[in-house]
Amino acid sequence: MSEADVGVDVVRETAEVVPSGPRLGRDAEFAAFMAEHGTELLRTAWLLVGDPHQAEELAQAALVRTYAAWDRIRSDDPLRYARRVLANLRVDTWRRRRREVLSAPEAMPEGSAPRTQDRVDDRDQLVRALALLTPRQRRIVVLRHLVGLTDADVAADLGVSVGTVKSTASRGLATLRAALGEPSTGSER
Amino acid sequence: MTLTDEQFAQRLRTRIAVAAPPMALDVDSTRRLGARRRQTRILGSAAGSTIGVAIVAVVLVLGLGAPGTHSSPAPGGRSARSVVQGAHPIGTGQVVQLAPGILASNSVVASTASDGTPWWSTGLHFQLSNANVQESIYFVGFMPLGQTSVEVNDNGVSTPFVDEGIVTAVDETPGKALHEWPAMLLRWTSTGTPDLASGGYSGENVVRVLLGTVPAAIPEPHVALVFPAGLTGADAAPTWVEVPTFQDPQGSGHLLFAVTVEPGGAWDVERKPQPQVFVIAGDGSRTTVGTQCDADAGARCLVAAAGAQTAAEITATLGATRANP
Repeated sequence: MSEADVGVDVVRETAEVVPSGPRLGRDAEFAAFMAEHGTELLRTAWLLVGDPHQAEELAQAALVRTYAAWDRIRSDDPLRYARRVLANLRVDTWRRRRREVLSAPEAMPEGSAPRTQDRVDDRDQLVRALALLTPRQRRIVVLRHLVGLTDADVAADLGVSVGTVKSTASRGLATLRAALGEPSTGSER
Repeated sequence: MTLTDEQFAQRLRTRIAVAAPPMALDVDSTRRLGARRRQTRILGSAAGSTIGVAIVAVVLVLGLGAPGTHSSPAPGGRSARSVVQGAHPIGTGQVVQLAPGILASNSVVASTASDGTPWWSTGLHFQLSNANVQESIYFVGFMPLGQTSVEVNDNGVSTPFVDEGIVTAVDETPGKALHEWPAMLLRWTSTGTPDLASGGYSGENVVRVLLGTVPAAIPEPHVALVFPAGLTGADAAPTWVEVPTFQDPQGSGHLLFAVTVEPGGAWDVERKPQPQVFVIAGDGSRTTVGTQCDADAGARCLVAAAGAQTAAEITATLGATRANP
């Protein structure tokens, strides 16, 4: 149960929580929302953290908050709310607690897999390239260029200026170009 | 041909669509977790003021070092024998420096997070800065288990011990909601092992946070943090510091302790073996963490960690506060 060394993070077991009270309308709406947008949110989470299992946890955490706020946000833009929560669940916090989440490039698998695993190779290459970005760059590049939000939306979601989004996204994209062997446009600041 | 940024991004999106790993979410468990989060938020909001008053009273008692008596809840509903466990503050302030860079709390103070969640501040805080992470100050404290959401310890923790523990939290201020992700769950233990949680929070350097409970069955307990490899800047001889304890602000009678370790201080986190926590009873019996060092093996483990001479010193210093059990 306990750890002998104080330098080890303690992990506890989990148990199921039994829901209480009827909320069929909310449940049905939320289920439909997850069916429609769950894959997109999972993919965004994966791009942010680079690990599919941690991405599932991160996406679920965002969706848990979305469900809890459903009555308030249902008529607005639940997807935007969920995405904003996802991006602001603080990748740096995850890194503090779970060092494997934002893996360093050198920790990534070498790209020496057989040709039959091209898809996995490409995935690894993408993850390695994203891992070269700072957490802030990564969040901005993911939301701006890989999710496809506007500069203004990214700025609003992350609480930064539009100028910051533009400059950070440009630098981040340049890093990705270099990592993926794509020639630069030479326009990066 | 050189692609424009948008062309390059489009190519990336296409690659990602093909290369993304298979992932899945469970709708039912997500809804259950969400429902619980929603419910606890509502309960927390409604009960906040009442709990706050109750906690202030407890903290005042704690400040006097008044002992608490409790019958420890045991797994399966059994109760351990009642023992008297008084808090042992060190010094007079809420926070005391045990060694350079090693700070501990003498008490907790009821507080309210910016999102309205009641919590208890240990007075311990640390600052992280990183070129890539917004500089933040983190306040270490506890939250009532019943009022936090389930995202404890990153794993969605909810346990049968739901009424028998306390959640540790790191509150990030100003203007931000209580940080739940780094939270760790401490449970009351009636066995010979303290429940211990430790986390590392990294900016440019790693700050360690160590929080724990004192086993309920240990009479007149004192907590010692033993450094088997000594402290930074000293020789490698084992050494130790006493860690102050304070009462669970929920009024359970359980004792807690909280320590932060800042980089560059006396605790070199890279130095092995790492420090261990021992609980020394006032009658000289002792215990420690870990399955290999339960109450029965405590003496042997203390000697193994601290060496015979330091172990004897610890026992003589902390284990002689009660003449006879």
